Amino acid sequence: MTGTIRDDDERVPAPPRAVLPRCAISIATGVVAWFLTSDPASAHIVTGPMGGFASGFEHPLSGPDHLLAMFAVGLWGAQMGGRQVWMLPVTFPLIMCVGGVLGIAGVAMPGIELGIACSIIVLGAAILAEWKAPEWLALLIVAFFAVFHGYAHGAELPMAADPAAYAVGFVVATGMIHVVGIAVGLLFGRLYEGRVSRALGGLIVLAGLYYLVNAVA
Amino acid sequence: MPVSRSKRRRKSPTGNAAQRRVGAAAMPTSRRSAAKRRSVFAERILADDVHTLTPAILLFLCAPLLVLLSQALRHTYSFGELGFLLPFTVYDVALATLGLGVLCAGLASMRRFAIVVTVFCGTLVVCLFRFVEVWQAFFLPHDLDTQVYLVTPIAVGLTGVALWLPQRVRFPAALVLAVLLGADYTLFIGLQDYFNDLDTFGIGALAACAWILAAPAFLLRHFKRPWLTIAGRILGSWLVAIELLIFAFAKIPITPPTG
Repeated sequence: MTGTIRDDDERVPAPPRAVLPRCAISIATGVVAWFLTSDPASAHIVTGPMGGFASGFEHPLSGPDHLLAMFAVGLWGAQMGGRQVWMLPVTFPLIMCVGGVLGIAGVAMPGIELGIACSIIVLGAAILAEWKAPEWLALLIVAFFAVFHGYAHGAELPMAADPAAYAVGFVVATGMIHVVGIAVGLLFGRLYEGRVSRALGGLIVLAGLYYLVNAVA
Repeated sequence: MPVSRSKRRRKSPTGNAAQRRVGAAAMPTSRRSAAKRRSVFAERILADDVHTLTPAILLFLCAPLLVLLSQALRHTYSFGELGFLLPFTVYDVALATLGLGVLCAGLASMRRFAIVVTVFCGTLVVCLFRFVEVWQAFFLPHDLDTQVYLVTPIAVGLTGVALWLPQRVRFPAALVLAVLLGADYTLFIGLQDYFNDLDTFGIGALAACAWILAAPAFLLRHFKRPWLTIAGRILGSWLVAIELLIFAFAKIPITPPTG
């Protein structure tokens, strides 16, 4: 961990902020345009009879795409240190439920699989580059991708035998994956001058590329 | 008058640390450095007063062991046992009660913690064993019997929000939530068929509810407050997300997913 954890609303001195290059803005604009123009897809949406808590809990764990992205959120937060340790894992489920509500309502949302694959790549790349993003930008990135993950969960919710228990299951599983990511980041983040975290980030990027190729093919 | 062991510990909080340092000096270098790492780790995470840590761990392990035993052994369930298992299966309210426990763990004094637990258990006892009277007095005259499904999302969401509150208002918020969650649990327990004639079912359920609130909170009191604040905020976000999803599911007309 590069920063310290403080009580309540005390701000930890922020690390030097990286200037966002123009090419990154261009890429981000391109990615958003890509999402808006691609066809609707059903990312990791299980059909058939489903139970309650166990089905919901199992959903993020049974799909490595969700698992890697959520793990990366925790790891990235721990790598950045300070308030980000908990800010990112707190933001993710809150925005994820917006995507979940869209999924429950059956709103057609294009490019879910692409969104999830890109979330893995972007979050993995941020860890690999040890990017100390400005707080607002990190939250924006996490919030943007959380919608895609939430949609995939929410689309399944009406099919569950006990939707309330299903919702509890997938939110708790998501949160626990974040906590594991934070724990790995805090415990092993400093090993070999942070190379362990960065290597994990690299592996996450590779996995994300695999999912991206699958989503496009 | 001889001083008891616990009193001695309370009077000299540095005594154990001094003994550990003396003990560590006699160790070989590798073990000494390992012990030092452990003590630094403990200092960062654990609170200063940890003399009740062992009973807290034992209390915390009680219910999981009982549940495991109950599920592992092939047997006919008793009504008390069924009552004990029921609160663990109401996942959202159990998680919210756990959230209230995290809130309690961060309270300034043990006395306030005990008051919240007492209010929670008191609400449960009164509402459970006077269930029909409470239902007739509160729900039926106000036509609330058709809105009962909203009690859980409201209680769960408010618990999530309360975990973000500043320290000074946490105690009154915890008291309000203790009543709300106690009443909410009552609905799940009291509306069970088993409950009508069997007090053992209610007593089992009451024991489980009390454990869900008190045991994790008692254990968490041994951790430093900043860690509890972080845990509380993370858990709070989960509870708010769950509440929004349940509320959306109850209110949004469901259409099959596209794609």
